[in-house]
Amino acid sequence: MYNVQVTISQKESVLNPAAKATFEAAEKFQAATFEDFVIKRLIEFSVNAADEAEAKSLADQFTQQLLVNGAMEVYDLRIEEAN
Amino acid sequence: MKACVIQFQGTGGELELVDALANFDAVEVTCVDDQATDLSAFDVIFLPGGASHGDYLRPGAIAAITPVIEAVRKAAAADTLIIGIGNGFQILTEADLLPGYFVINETLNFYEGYETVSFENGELTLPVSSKYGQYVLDEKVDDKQVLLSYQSVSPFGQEASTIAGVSNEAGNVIGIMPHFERATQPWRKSQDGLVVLVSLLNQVTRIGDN
Repeated sequence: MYNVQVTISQKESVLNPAAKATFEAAEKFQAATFEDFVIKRLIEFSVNAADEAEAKSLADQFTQQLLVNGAMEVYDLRIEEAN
Repeated sequence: MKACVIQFQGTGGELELVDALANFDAVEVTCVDDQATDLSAFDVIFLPGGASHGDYLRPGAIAAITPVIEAVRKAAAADTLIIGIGNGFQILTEADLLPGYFVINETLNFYEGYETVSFENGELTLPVSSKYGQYVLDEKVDDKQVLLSYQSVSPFGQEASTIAGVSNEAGNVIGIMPHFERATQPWRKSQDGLVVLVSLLNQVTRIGDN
């Protein structure tokens, strides 16, 4: 069994009203300057596979088919063997 | 004319659509669920509005991998008219049957209201309602694919596309963000949705003047 973490973020070119709203709210904190906000989604699951390579392949395929929309999002996938 | 209305889990707009289609004696409506695998008997297939699967992951993403979408793909390839409204439009983009994608509204809030849209050679007043209504097109589409347009700016966000309705290149897969089915009854604020509906159905069988 392998644990998978998929971190999904919008491509920089895509409209990101949530990040923009957070930046505008952060401007009210005058003690420091906060900028370059990126809001990501983290999805965790486990996958049953013979080895790490197979787990990565299965998780990668699943992520592309359902979890992300390649037109607007990018992702980072991490895998580790479950204890 | 045989019309199909697909009910995805969580879909909320199917009954309004069935009511709208009931305006036409020539249209025989059948509802199917998202497990249907054969839609070849239908002349027109509707994907109604309403947040299927709770808009989880992304609006339309989970519905886009249900078995019925493979049947929709086959029907689209066979030149059957496919029409997605609101969330149905989002499902068709997630299934790559229409170009572009949707992001959350500029205000981050759900928005509903009546908007003036350009359609064919006139202007219509149609209701819109969505939290994920900002339509984004990274690619240029042919002018003939743009079926409806908002007036100068999208009601969902200033940077979004002003396209309110679009078709695929072949013209038989159509996505429309305004809920024209909610503007077809005499007790509604607007009945302009009938103009859109008649025009769409006339593509299959002439049922009247729009």
